[in-house]
Amino acid sequence: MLFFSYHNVVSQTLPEDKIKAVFIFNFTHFVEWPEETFENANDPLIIGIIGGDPFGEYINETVSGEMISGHPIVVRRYQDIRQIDCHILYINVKDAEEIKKIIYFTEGKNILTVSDEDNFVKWGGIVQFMEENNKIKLQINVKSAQHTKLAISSKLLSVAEIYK
Amino acid sequence: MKIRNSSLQTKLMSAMLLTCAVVLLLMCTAYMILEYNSYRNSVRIQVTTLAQVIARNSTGAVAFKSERDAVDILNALKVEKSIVAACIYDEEGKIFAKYPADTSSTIFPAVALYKGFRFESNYFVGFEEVTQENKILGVLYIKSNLSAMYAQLRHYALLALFLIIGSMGIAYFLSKSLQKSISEPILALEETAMKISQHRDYSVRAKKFVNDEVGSLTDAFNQMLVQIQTQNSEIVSFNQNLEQKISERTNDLKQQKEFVETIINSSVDLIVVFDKYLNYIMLNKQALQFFDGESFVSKNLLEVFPGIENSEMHQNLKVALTGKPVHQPKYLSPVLNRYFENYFIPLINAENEVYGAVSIGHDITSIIETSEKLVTVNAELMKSNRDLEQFAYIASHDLQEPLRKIQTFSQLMEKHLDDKVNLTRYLNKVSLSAERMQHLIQDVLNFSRISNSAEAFVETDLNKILEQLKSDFELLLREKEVEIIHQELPMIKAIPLQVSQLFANLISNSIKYTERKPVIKIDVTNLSKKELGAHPKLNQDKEYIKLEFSDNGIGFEQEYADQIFGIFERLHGKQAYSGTGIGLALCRKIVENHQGIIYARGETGKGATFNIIIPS
Repeated sequence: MLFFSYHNVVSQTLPEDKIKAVFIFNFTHFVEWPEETFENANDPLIIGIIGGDPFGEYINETVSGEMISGHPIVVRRYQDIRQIDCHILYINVKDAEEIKKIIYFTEGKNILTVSDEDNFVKWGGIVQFMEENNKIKLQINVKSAQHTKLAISSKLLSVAEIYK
Repeated sequence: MKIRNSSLQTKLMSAMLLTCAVVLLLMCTAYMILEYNSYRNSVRIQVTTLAQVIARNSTGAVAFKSERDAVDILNALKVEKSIVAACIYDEEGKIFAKYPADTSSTIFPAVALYKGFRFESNYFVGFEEVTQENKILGVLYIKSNLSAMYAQLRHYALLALFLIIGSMGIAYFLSKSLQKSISEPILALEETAMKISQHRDYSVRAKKFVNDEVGSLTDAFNQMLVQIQTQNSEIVSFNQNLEQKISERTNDLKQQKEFVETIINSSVDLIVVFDKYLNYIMLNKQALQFFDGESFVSKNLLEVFPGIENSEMHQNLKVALTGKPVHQPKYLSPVLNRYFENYFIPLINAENEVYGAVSIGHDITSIIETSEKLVTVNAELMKSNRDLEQFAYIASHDLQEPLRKIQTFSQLMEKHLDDKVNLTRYLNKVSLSAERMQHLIQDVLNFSRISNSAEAFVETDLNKILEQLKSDFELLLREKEVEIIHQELPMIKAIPLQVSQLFANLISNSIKYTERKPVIKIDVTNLSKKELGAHPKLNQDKEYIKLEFSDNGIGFEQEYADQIFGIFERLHGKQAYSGTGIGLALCRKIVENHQGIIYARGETGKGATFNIIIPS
């Protein structure tokens, strides 16, 4: 029964969502968080998801056992904006006002915000997934990033489209 | 000469050139190996460094699957011409980006095969992991062409080859002129040595060129030549001396040997020399003639005459081998059937050891024969003497007696010339005496004739002889009523007249000493071996017959059995039995003349038996 349900979840994850899950995980390698975001040396690096979860168990699988500078990686799903306490936040919300609210809420909290919303970087989000020729591309709002204490690797920047 | 010369020069030059070539080759090879290794090292460092840089730069592109970005990064490899191909595999092992961009995917390995780099024939290839924070994102593949490196190496090799060829050329001309300083003095020395050995001219001296080892060798060689020259002349003169002495000595020895051989061979004695094992060493000419003994030499005595072992001869030789000379005055050789007087003389060397023996045999056969003849002649002479003495006795007694009677009766007749009666009686007496004398002389003549006769022996039939006698004595036999009993008599080799006389004397003797009706029995037998053995005087190898004449006469006493055969011996008085006393002596003479014997057996009043044994 358990096996069935697991399989069901995996099969439900779309290929582009899988890539996105991996990208989200990869951000942990190309972005540096300030030490103050971790209370203890072995506190986890948290990937938060708000809105609908397109990744399901797949993202759990992807991050399972991975460590970044001694921090294990965990995935948390939020229903309420006030619950948000993470390092990367994937925002899967359709309502534009709701998205803007979340962007506003996370400002100055050293959270790498990520969304599929077409106007995400325009609204002040940091990383936006775009589809181009059936490939997932990145767009980064460097100004938004500069408002945080996050250090984004030039390698990440070089593969992304920079929004000014 | 030319070839030999060039050989030493070639050797020297070859040694120099070979050394040069080997050194150059080793140097160049070492340099090439070094160069090759340093090239490879530099390629390895260059390519791996490049790979690491590219891998690090491409992490973002790989992580976020930006192919364009990855291709851009790979295109940076253009600066390094040796890199012919490169690609990046993503996390799933698929080729993600290629360099050059338009290359077909087939030239790349389908998956990352191994970790790290390696040389593969003309290429240096390898995989470098694309990692970010220890996380493997993908793999970079790089293929670097080494042909530039090999081209460089080939260039160096060509350069080395020209270097070697050039160096060898220089080395050749250098060695050609340098070897002369070594080879020329040696070759000169060698030429001199060859000349000397070919012409045996030791007065030649080698020329000295330099003051090095070859110079001292030349000096030593010249000194040796001086020594050889001196020694040679000494040896030559010594040899000539020696040869002369040897030829003189050989001549002397030859003469001595011939002298000794002549003496030994001119000896009439048999000289045989043995070694201490009794092997024949030498036989002189005389011995060789006797034995035909050419083949004896070096053979053993017992091998040649096996029957001689332990004979007197063999013993004597053995005694001589102990060092004692032996003299054997008389020896009948069973081999030669001749008599020898032998001397066995030991041969003793300077150390007083016996090393052989000489046997000297003097042939005394003729002496022995002569002395044997002398004994016979002597016996005959003695017998003849005895006969002569008996003759003298006859002369003094028996022959004188009728003469004395004739004398006596003649004197009586002179005195009684008128007395006719007495005269007649005396004349009768004279006549009887003369008749008796005549008988005596006749018998003596018969006897002596037998002694001297040398008549031939012929096949004689004894039956015929007896029949002839019977007819000659017919009147007497009838008058005395004699009976002769005999069996068939054999034929023998004899002198018929003498056998006839023998039989006549034996028969008349039996008649004479038998008073009434004599019976004479003649038996004949072949003499058995046993009987023959009882008469040692006879030849034991011949066949004999025995004739027995027995009668019924007055006989005689056995002690006179020999005496009756003496001349003029009579056992009985003349008056009782007539006879001259020569008959039986004559019988014995005849029998002995036929190599036989005669003997008698008798007993007074019981008759006598005369036995004659003669060869059949």
